[in-house]
Amino acid sequence: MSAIIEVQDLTKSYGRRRGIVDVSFAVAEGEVFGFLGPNGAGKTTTIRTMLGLLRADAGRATLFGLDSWTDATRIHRQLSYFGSEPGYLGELTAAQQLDYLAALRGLPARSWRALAERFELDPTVPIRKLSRGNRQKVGAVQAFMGDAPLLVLDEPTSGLDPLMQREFLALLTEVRAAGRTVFLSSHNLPEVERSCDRVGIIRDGRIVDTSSVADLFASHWRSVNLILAAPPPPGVFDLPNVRIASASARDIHLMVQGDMNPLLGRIATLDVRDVSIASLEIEDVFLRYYDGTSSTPEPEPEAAVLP
Amino acid sequence: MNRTVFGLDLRRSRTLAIWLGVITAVYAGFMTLFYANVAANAEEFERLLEIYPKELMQAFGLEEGFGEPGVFLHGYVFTFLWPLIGALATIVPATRVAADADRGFLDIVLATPMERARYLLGSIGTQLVALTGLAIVMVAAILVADLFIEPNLPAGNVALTALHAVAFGAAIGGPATLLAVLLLDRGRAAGLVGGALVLMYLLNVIAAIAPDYEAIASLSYFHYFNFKALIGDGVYPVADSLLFLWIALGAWLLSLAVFRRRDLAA
Repeated sequence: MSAIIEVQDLTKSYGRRRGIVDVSFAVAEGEVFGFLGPNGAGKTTTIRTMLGLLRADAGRATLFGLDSWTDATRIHRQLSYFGSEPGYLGELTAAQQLDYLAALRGLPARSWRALAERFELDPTVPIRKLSRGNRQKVGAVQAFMGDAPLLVLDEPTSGLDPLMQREFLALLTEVRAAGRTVFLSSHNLPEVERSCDRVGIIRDGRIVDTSSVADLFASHWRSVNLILAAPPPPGVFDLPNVRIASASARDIHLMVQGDMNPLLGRIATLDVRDVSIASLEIEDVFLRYYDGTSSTPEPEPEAAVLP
Repeated sequence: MNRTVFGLDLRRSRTLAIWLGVITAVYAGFMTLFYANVAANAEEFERLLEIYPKELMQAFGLEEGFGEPGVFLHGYVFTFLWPLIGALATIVPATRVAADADRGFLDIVLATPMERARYLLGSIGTQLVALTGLAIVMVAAILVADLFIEPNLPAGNVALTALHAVAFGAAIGGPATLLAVLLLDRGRAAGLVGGALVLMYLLNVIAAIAPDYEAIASLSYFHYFNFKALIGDGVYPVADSLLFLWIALGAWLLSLAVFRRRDLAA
């Protein structure tokens, strides 16, 4: 598949303030690419440079084979953008703003109506009177309207309530099924895990890793807590990707790396009172990159033994 | 210019323009009605004004011949009212691009196929429409009030003042647009333009009060913003209008050139 986005050694600073340094990655057609990083890592700077809103100091970004700075208008005909600070005009109603942006993108008026219903957005209310979450919905509707082959979404779900986040991710799944390409900036790891094919991780303005989502999650340790009805038989957790972090007679804390299925198979043989599996947090992922070397394997948890 | 962008820009300027129009109509109409009283009692008014220093009266455009329509309207309507109205009618739409950048809306608009120059032309078009509309309101208010007074004002000459008033306003709007595009900071752009206008007004006053510094008046817009000869004698200030229009046009063209290549980093 051809690359829709190609970023090579992209560098942008704000005077003496760091922006991004030598950022490189590529996004293939039809791919959902997650762009992960903590606040201030350079996600928005990368996106704004990709869109031709900022001019790179060095390096190059091409979208659809066109230069992001010199061919910005031609690129914009083929994309839909959701900004991390979704701009709105408070004096307009959501309907008026959406109609305005639809007109600028050559879409028919009211082409956003079905999306507004999906997000339970009342388009007749002036935007200044909407809550932050509802303003975020205006941005989400605007991002999904039309059928642009590329969606660039900068932290689109922050501020949305869980139900609307789910709706957003469902829409993302539909977009993906339609073969459209998505560039999704986020610091919400479960969202990236559910929606993305590949991820790029940015820290302090530099890309520290790009990998498939499966690889990213396979390389990290997750915590599993078990409360059993009776002490487990010896050796039941002897699996190559499982460590016993701590254990009392019936309360066991395990760490598992990668595929959970073998462990779940062993747990199914036990009389379990309660089980909890902690989701991987973004902090866990970034901890690995704090020493600046993405190739460093995550340290194994210290092993304990069953009593 | 893009019709959609222009339409929204006009809409966003509507409330301000309506209020400025009401203020302009009421003030210009009222002062014109007052002129009948001034003209009928011109000698008494002249004597009253003699108690003030002559230079000070000159500084504010109130020269001898207070009963003359050109002197009266220039001093009481054009010099006093129009700089404020013209500045507000242009600075607000001109600096909107900076406000939109600050609130993140500019990113959304410029990530559509909208070309930057066409976006900015919407703002420039709005400035011209607002200025023209308000200048027409001002002249219309004077002419309507003139129907109720004696002696009548020279209607044709008064109507022509609208052209010079628009040119003056455009010379404020052009630099305001340029500063907004360069700084992408509405407060600083508006403050600099407002400050420059106050400074130029003071330069004109100083030049009128102190003949030794007469030359500095040429640095002030207000030196070229004179309606006395136009209203009184029908002599249109062609050179002054052209100077204002050149400033406006130059600044607008420069704004478009800068904005097309402007990195939108704040």
